[in-house]
Amino acid sequence: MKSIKKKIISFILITILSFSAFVPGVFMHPAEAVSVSNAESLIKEILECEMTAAGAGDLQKLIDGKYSKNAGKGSDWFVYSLIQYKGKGAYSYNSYIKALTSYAETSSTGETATGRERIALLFASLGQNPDYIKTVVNNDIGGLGIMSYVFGLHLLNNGYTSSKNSSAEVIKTLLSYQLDNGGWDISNKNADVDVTAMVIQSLAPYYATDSVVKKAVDKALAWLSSVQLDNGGFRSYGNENPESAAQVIVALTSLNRNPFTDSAFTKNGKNAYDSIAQFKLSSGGYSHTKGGAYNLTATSQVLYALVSVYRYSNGKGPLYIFNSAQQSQTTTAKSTTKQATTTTSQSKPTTTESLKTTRAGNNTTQTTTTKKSDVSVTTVASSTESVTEKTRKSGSGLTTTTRPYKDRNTTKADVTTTEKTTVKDKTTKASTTVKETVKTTVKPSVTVIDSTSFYESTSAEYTEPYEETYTEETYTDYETEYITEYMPEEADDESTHISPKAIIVAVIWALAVAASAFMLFAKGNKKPVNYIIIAVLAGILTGAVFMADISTPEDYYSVTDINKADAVTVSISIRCDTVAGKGSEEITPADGVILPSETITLTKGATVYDALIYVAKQNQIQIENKTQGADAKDNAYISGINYLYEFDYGNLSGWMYSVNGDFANVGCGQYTLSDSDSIVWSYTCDLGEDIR
Amino acid sequence: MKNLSSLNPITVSLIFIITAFMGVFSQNPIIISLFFTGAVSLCLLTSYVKSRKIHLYALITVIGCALLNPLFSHNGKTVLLVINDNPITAEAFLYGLFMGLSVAASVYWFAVYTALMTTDKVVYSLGRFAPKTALMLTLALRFLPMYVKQAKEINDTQRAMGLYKDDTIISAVKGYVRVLSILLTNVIEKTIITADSMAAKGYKGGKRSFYSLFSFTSQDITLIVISLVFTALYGVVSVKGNMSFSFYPELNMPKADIFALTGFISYFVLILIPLMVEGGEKLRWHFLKSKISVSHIPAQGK
Repeated sequence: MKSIKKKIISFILITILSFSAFVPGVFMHPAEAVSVSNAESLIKEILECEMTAAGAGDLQKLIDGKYSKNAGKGSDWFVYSLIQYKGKGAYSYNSYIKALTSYAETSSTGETATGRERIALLFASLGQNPDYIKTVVNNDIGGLGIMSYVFGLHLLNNGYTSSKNSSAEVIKTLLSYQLDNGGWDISNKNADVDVTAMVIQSLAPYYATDSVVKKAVDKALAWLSSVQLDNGGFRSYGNENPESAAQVIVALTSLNRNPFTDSAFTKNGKNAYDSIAQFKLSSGGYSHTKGGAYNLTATSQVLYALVSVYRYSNGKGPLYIFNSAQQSQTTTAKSTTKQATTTTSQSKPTTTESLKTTRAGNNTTQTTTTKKSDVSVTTVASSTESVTEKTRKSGSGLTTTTRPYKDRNTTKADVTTTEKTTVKDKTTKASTTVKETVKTTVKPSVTVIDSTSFYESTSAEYTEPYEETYTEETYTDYETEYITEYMPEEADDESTHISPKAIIVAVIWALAVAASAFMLFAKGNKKPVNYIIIAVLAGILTGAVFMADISTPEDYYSVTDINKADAVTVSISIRCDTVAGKGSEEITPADGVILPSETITLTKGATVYDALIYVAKQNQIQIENKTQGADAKDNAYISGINYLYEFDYGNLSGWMYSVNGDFANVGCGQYTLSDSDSIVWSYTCDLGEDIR
Repeated sequence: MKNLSSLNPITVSLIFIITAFMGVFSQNPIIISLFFTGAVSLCLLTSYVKSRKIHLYALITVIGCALLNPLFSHNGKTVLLVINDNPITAEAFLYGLFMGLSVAASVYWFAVYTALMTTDKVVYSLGRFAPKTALMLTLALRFLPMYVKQAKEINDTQRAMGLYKDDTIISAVKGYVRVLSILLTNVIEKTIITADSMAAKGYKGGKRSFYSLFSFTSQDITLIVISLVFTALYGVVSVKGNMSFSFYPELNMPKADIFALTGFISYFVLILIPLMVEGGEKLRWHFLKSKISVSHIPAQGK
């Protein structure tokens, strides 16, 4: 009797347990549910819709045509979304800039203060027309109620300074407008979702550092959460609409919170996007009312909300922070403790003294950067790359299907130009040795950002930033802190910057301690030899861990630049013509090109293996090397590239490489490259007979 | 109604081997989980397997597979770490986990099966068409438990004689080596003796006949028919590919449709048959007993 009962209960328990073990595995396959990772496909749908509506073949034509025509009159937010989604280098915005400039000149009297701020924001995001921005920042903040403060603050957050208002004053004003329930409103009467969310967006950069702002924003978030509808949506002036939900999404992503999973903003399992989805049209656009027609405002706001989600999931920072501005700030920010510099997006060349100080302060940081690059391809982490790469959020590095290298290249281009100007100015004054070090010193100097000691030293100095008088210098200091403390990627870095090695070693020793404790307390064994053996085993494992080259995907896929002093330039491509289109498009593309020919520069003595690893890192292509252990590099055996493995297409299939058309008889880790070699990795189905 | 041990050995073998075959060769997490659940519950609900260590071994198998597979297979899109240019992926971890579960499940499943298949049953089911295989199988199956017992005896003897202590790891390892070497000598000797004694008893000579008491009852036939029907269903669905599942490069399962559901249900039924036979018997006895106690007749036995 008793035993049957017991057994039935245990049966039920086991069933539940083992089912719960596989349930997450089965449902890991994402169906239609919205998540941060498929924001991009929704963005693409909207852009498709825009292109078909305008009859434009591609996005460039859309920008040059419809968007330029409507510059300042309704297309601005689409353009802004595009810039913040792809980077300003992805498309040519020249005709749009021209149109916007002429619009700004002709309509400056007709436009409202917020309208001018919007135009300034667009100029700022494109790095254009600093004079216009300056006028706007000096005259229009507070020119038209609360929203003009909000947009003004966005400009100030990007490093522009106002002669009239400091960001601290603007924040104070905004906080003074907060209503008792935590919300904000244009008329200061009944809190409105849109206004509240937009104020949060502008205050977001100070959330992490300023306790007053944090308190206010938390209160506002609590109010927003309380007014969220059961279907995840929001009402504004009595009606549920997609715009309000979109603003809330932007606000949450600005605070580095996931709008789709945040427990405070999911009601009955529905999030804000679930509400927006009700307004989605079959064309890909959005309507303002349920069942209504396409609406420009709704579509543009949903678009930038999705872009904000995309930026959040890829760690690119909030929607209203420009990557280019960020970088110019960080370049100046790193030397602020010593000198007063002006922080604007047009980074002025620093003086020779400042160069020296940064150089002096760099001895430590350089060692940290070189430590990273113990791969045989000697690499110096390029400053800008590391900053942008740091923005990559943990885990998102590889899960996104698109390869973000395009974006990376554009930001790279931005910064190299600023670098070049610095170098030019320097050469006349500095000695030849200094000239040589300029490149290397300027670069790692920005990586100061990831040294934790730097955070501490800066944050210790600025505990109460608002108490200080805002001179130019303290302002830049404040910016430093804002960059280091606020930026979500940095905050993430703080937590995930503990190297994976440390975690593994900690686990090993925790297990060792647990085993010792078990032996001592459970078995009462007191012989010291046992504990010494456990310690030695743990030590050996620790040694093995330290010998291995372990890095997080973010770090691994972010190394790109190379010491050009003694280098070979080779071209490399990866092809799978023999199986083109036979499998999924992603693994075996129909044109047979996994990586189009790419010219890369490697340290002299680099092998074919180094070249492959280099491009694989740069373009986030998966590689499997079958050889494990110490000789993994010399005796490398590449069994899979881009998830396409040997033996996938018959017993004679696998990867082979050719250099200048010849298939070498040595392993790829043995073949040393010479200048202007051309490497082709190709997939064979017949031991190389079909690719020769 | 019979329980598993009194069913015809051919029926039992058919059910156990078909389900194990499906479970081991399927990559579908649902099938593997059903297999694991079924195997563990059969092992726990019946008293055929008495050793508790089996749970420890199963746990080690599952954890070991899950942790080791990512070190040797670098396929998969979700990169967790990169070690020496090779990515460690979540997919490889999940693959290892489910392969471990499948191995552990077959360990449980066959632990019950070997407990059920006594020597005479093996000889009955194989003796007619493969007498030599049957003989070898029974001998081999007997060797394992015999040597485990023998090793324990040697260990106890050595310890009683004060030849080694296992208070430190080093002396424990030394002791195991000592026991193992003694055991190996013992095994070699024993096999020769067995062979000699069998030859002396005339096992070498001509055709052998078997006597066994097993017969096919209506229950056996019902069970065989049921299991063959569901096996056929399962086979059709898996040939159609509706239950296919791939871990690499990312978890991918065709949308669950009516065919896949049929496949899962068929497998569930197949796994459930041994449990039903055992459980049904127990439940029947349970209700019979309660009836007896209601009518104030003293219950007999347990």
